[in-house]
Amino acid sequence: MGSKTEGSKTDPARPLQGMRILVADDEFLIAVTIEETLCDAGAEIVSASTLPDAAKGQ
Amino acid sequence: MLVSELSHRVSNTLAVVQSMAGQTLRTTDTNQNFVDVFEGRLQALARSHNLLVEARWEGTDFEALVRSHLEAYLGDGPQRLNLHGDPVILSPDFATPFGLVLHELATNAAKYGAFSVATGRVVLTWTIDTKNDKRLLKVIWREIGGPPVSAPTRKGFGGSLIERGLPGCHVKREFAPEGLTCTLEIELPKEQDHGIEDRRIED
Repeated sequence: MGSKTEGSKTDPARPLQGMRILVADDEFLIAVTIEETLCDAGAEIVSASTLPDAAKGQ
Repeated sequence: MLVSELSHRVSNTLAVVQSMAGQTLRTTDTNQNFVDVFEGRLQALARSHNLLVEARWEGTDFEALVRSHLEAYLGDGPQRLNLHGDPVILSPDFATPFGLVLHELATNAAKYGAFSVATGRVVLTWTIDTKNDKRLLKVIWREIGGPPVSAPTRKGFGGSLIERGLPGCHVKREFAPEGLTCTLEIELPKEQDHGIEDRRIED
């Protein structure tokens, strides 16, 4: 789940620049690795470890 | 059914170990340091696992979990750990991450806090509040008699693990000069809501 917030030029090293992504996983150790990968690719991360948190995480 | 459940769990555990290795590598500076820290975390995972196996994967007593993760830090002084709380059974889903959180709290105490000096001790109290189908577990980890404490200048992976390791847990760490107090509040499912029979296989 994600959305481009602005139509900016894309840095090839950061293809997810401008995206805001919700990472929902109840296993912290898994979530943190996914978050880092997405973050390195330029995305902004919202994390949630429970379903109610995920629902709020807009 | 059994093989598919087993496969699911083993895959999950391997993914956790892989991530643990990556995160530990990012936050340690030498090979030896990596081996020491990673080994400690792997052992913590193994300890929770052993307790769960002994209990036929039906959950583990919280006090037994605490003792198994902290006994290595007490040396010959069992009085360095004071435990007060009613019996609580943690389901496997909570016992494993809780073990890692306890391990990180203990290693931090051994590095900077109450377990770093002979006079220090940890007082761990917990209460369980049952409402409707939910059980609210509140755990207070308080360090006493250690060296003066100050808040870490930057949060390491261990700190993140303590604060985010338990899904849905509210964690507060207060670095008072006289010692760290860490409060964890977590909603547990009702007691019979675990065990292999009523687990849904997700993938």
